[in-house]
Amino acid sequence: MVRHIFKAKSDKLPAVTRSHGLSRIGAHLVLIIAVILSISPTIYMIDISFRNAVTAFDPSLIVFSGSTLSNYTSVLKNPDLPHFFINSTIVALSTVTLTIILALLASFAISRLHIIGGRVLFLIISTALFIPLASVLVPIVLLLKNIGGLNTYWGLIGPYTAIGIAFAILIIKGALDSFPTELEEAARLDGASWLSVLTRVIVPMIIPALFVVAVWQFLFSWNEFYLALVIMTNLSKETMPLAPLYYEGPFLAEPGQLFAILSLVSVVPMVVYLLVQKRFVKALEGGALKG
Amino acid sequence: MDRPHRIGWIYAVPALGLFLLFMLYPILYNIIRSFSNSKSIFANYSALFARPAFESSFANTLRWVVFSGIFEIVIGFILAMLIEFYIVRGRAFYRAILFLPMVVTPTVIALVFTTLYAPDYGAVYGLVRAIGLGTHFPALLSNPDTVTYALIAVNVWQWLGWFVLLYSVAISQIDRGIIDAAAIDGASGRRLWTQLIIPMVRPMTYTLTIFAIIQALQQFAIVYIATNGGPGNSSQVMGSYVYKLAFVDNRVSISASLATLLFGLSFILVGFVFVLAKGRFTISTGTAE
Repeated sequence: MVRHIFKAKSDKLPAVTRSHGLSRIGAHLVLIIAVILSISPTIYMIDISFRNAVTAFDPSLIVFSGSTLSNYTSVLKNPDLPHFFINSTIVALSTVTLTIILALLASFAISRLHIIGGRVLFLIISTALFIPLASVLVPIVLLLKNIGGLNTYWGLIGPYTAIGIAFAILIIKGALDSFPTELEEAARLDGASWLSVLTRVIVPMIIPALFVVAVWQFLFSWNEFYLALVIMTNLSKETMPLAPLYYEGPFLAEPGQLFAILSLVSVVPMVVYLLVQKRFVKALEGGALKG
Repeated sequence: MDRPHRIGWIYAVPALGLFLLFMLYPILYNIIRSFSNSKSIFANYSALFARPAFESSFANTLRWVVFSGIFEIVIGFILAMLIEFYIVRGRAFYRAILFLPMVVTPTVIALVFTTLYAPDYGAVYGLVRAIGLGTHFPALLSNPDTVTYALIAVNVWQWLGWFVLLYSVAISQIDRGIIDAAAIDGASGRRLWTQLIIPMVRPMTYTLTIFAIIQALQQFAIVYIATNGGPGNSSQVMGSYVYKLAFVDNRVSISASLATLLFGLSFILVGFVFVLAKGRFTISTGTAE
């Protein structure tokens, strides 16, 4: 550890670590190695998707010669590909919307309306955070089978919302509890209904918390594989994470095409993340997480 | 006066309903089914314990919890500390890039790493050969002794960014004045870390420990896609074995007893951390008492 206190180079760092150049270079070195390890598998995936039939089996991380678009042109010809994409979009967006609405209403009831047993209700729903999916999977499938939920969108949207709602209530109720109630009381005295207090006064205050929940729940439902595998058995209803299964076997002789599919599956969550990451981190720092 | 607490329940009913339908009911179903057997109430459990794959899946799940958790927390903390205390420019860049693997679909990750680990054409082999460490690379995923650790490494690779980000947020919220004052009072580097900084981020450590436990217990996609629990059942985890028992072997009642054990294990491990933490958590003001 750094024991010396050197002249201030930056006000952002505490005195103890306002250190000489060497340890800062050392920190950068370690972090750059971590970044390289972190990003290489993704670069490798994208690189293989552009390789030809010969270079596909080259053990290098990146092959610079003989790049081709043919892997993409052949996999994009598959008429089933749009189904995976459309199904995932429908399921993920519905899950996000439903989770936010239901969690907001429940958090409002607990934090603001002080419903009888609200604290117990919060504790009970919070236990869902500690329930591994595998311990509820089979009964969910049997239940959906009995009520005709297999191969339907709501058959995934329902369980996904149920899984995400505990985290959503934790975050949203946490945000609500940290805001004073004066504005709402003033609005109530002016004769506003509870519902309009919720939508006009409360929602604008807790946008960062809602944003964190939306991003988290979108990524979860877009990438979820376990439930999708057993609930969506009909090709026309399958979601994106299931798409590689169709290319794994027959296309193992052609890694380029498999990796083109893998890259296409990853595009949406990565683009979504890159678009929202700044706001996401800011929301975590600012309001959604409190010590 | 408002009498909101009566009608207020209307707002909470939909969320509670989904919880009852897709969480509580399945748990109760599994518990009841696992003890329903015409021979004896423990017959399903004895049948489960008699299967050699059970021991393998149980031991592997514990390995996932321990090794994933330790590596995620230790490396996550070290990287976050470097970012927050030694880096002036580029903090956001490091955090953002390290977080990126978190958003990639697990099925994709499993297939990418299967190729990376491939003995003849994988890039890990290519790298080992390029730096002259030999021309043979062990088939990590087909060796029963290495397969689980190779898969745990994939998981740590994917989730590390989440631990870095949350530790980073926790460290940045420490009042720098306290650290400076302690340094001026003559506290040495090591004492600053062990007696000041690590205790101050302890609530986050508890939160992340619980997170790591649950995330390790959730494992399915990486194991199922990369090895399907093989070779033999050597990389099977409880999550993938529940699936195999119910949907491949058609032994739903035995699967229900394994699912019940997994649920119990989660509550025991999480409960243990809760007792250790004595309510000192960081997630939101909703849980910090």
